[in-house]
Amino acid sequence: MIMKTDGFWKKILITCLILVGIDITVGLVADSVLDIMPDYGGQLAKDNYRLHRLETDVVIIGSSRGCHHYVTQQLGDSLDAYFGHHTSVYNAAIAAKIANSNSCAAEAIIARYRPKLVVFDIGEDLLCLDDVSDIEFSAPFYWKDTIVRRYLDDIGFRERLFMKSSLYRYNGKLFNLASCFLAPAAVDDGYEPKFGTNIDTTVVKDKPKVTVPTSELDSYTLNNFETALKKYSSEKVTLVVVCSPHFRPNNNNKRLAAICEKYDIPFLDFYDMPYFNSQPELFYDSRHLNDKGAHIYTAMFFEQLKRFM
Amino acid sequence: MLFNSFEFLIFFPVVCIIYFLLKDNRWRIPFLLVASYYFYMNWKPVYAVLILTSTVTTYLCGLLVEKHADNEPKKKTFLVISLIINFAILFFFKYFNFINESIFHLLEIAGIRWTVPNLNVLLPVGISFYTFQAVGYSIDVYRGTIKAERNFLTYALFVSFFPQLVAGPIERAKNLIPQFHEEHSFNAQEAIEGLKLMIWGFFMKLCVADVISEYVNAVFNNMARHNGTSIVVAMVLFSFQMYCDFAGYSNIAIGAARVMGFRLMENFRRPFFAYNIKEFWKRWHISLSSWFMEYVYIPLGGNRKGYARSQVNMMITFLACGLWHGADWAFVLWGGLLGAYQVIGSMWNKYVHKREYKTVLSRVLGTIFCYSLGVFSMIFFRANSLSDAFALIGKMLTDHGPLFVDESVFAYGLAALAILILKDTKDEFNLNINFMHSKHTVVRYLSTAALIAYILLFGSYAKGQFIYFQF
Repeated sequence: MIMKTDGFWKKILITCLILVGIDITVGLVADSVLDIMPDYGGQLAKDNYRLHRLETDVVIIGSSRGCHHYVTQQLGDSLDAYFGHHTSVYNAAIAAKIANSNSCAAEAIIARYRPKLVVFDIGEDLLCLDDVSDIEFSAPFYWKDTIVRRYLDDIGFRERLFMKSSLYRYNGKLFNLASCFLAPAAVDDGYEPKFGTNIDTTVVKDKPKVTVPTSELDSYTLNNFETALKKYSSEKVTLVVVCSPHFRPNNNNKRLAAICEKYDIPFLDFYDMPYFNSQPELFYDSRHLNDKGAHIYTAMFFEQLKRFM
Repeated sequence: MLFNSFEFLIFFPVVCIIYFLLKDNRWRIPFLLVASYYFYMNWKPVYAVLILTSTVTTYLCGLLVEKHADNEPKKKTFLVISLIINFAILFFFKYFNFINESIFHLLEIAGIRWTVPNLNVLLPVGISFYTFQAVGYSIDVYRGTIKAERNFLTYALFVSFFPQLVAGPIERAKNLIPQFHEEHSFNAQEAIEGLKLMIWGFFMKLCVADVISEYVNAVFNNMARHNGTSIVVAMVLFSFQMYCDFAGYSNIAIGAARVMGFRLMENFRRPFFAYNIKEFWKRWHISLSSWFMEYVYIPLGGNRKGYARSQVNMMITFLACGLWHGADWAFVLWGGLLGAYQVIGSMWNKYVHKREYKTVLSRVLGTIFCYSLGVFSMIFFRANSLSDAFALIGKMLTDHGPLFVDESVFAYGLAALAILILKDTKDEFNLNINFMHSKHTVVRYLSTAALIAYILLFGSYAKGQFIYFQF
């Protein structure tokens, strides 16, 4: 049967060409906005800052646990007193940016300059997640940043293909882009405090602690993490991997410790500490310390950190 | 395979091109059948056996019912066999654990220990849809409203036709099977219309349903942290999520079939413009509500056995409809609530206000009232359990406070909702404002490309499952 297409393909082609035009226009406009984006005001601005502009002596990278747990000012004061001169610190951890995004940031930092110390806050549970949404958040930087591009390309063929479209790269990010210009300047050098507690302290103290079986480590996430560790190890830049406190966690960090040991990277494990497990009032929720808990933890962390300085 | 997946983006054009390149139905029907099974088996291959079982039993029973058309007892026996086998499969996979747990709790009250363990099986995607479609065919053959299909492959395709296999519309044999016997040559205009419908369906799913679901899930999955104000807003958004998720799927299904030259039945007709509950059910999930009307309400006696009996029949039909949606008492209660709306509405019209509401104001008030009742009933649909549903109602009535705001969801979701409401308003009132169907070529092309660009730029690609897949 011969198909009479009645101009069907022509119509499809015209629609596609208009779509390509829109795609290119959106890309050009959004990319130029990206270039003038401030260093503060939302996650995209912070991501851009840590990937491309940050140059402090000490950098903290991590997820929401990182940005809520390390009191930058307090850590800076402790370091100033310890070294006897000013040490700049920035908490570059971003909420919902889990392992891949942080491995990428760690690589981007060392590719740009040599900080005195990089603190990488991560838990083994994050290495198990088969989730690339955090690194996909950095998609606007695809053409601007070769490290981001490598991370995104490594996800697979589909991602490599779709990244050629500006509309896809900026999917769901125009609001983030606009909010960078509207949000007030950040204080506390990246530290984002949480206040109060959502843990029912009357119930939780009597509950037995549950241990759940651990899942497999995700190969893509693990590979990125190991690549970052390898680079720090070979470049001889001090990287400390830390797992900050969790309220009565139900797994452990044995495999994470083994990975760090393999690359001769120090690992500080505060994940399951009796001190914090008995004080739910120091937590905002089971995964995050509140401001009071963060101050206590930062002091504890600094005491341990001295060993590597 | 999900419509909103990369695989479908490859699968669909390839199937369409091969379909139209094939010479005639001798090749096309088997090809579409293979494609449909491939589409389904992408999820869990072994469950294709269930579709095949349903197909074979209803096919054979259909032939036997027709063969014994003059022998009522035999005819009825074969229909019953078909119904038992199909409903047994549905019961086993969907309702066994629910019934088992209900018996356990009931006997527990009486102090009796019930020790039958629950089954650890996954609910086969779309089982309620294809089972109802196949059962509808059996009943139609029994009633003599259609002839039994002799060609097994054609019949198998009727049960498993991929655009509507997993979430409807629940087609009727008299509409779909004759279309499989026709030779469809490629029709550019139909294909374009089908593609436009698919694009609109993707907009509804990816830009409205999946975006606002982030807010809805944030509130409902963490009820303790949210106040009544946020829950009311989440419920309103959930009503649009439900509508756009399911109507979006239906539009993609109807559009995909239309590209290949098949016309599936309409499933949603702007339900939130309904000004009474009866009207609502003529607009919401039309293929299911008409199925229950044809195969449950009318066989129960419909309105032929007096007013009181018709109201009882209505309640039974809605309770069954609730149970169809999910194996949980919350769904039964949801169905019961919808049935009660219908019965009360009917009694109101019969005994209190006998005239029809025709003024604009009464229509507007009716629409708001009907929508509010719909949203209220959806609490039972969305809550994680019956006790959660009552807790939600309590919070909505008492615990008011500042609204939980997710700026990006509000920005993207409300913008998409505005587009949706404008389009539905235009269609509802036949306003002569057209974009994708404008008579001006430039407007037509630009608006179509702009809508695709909008989907790419603002759609959610978190691979959100379609809500109705669970039924």
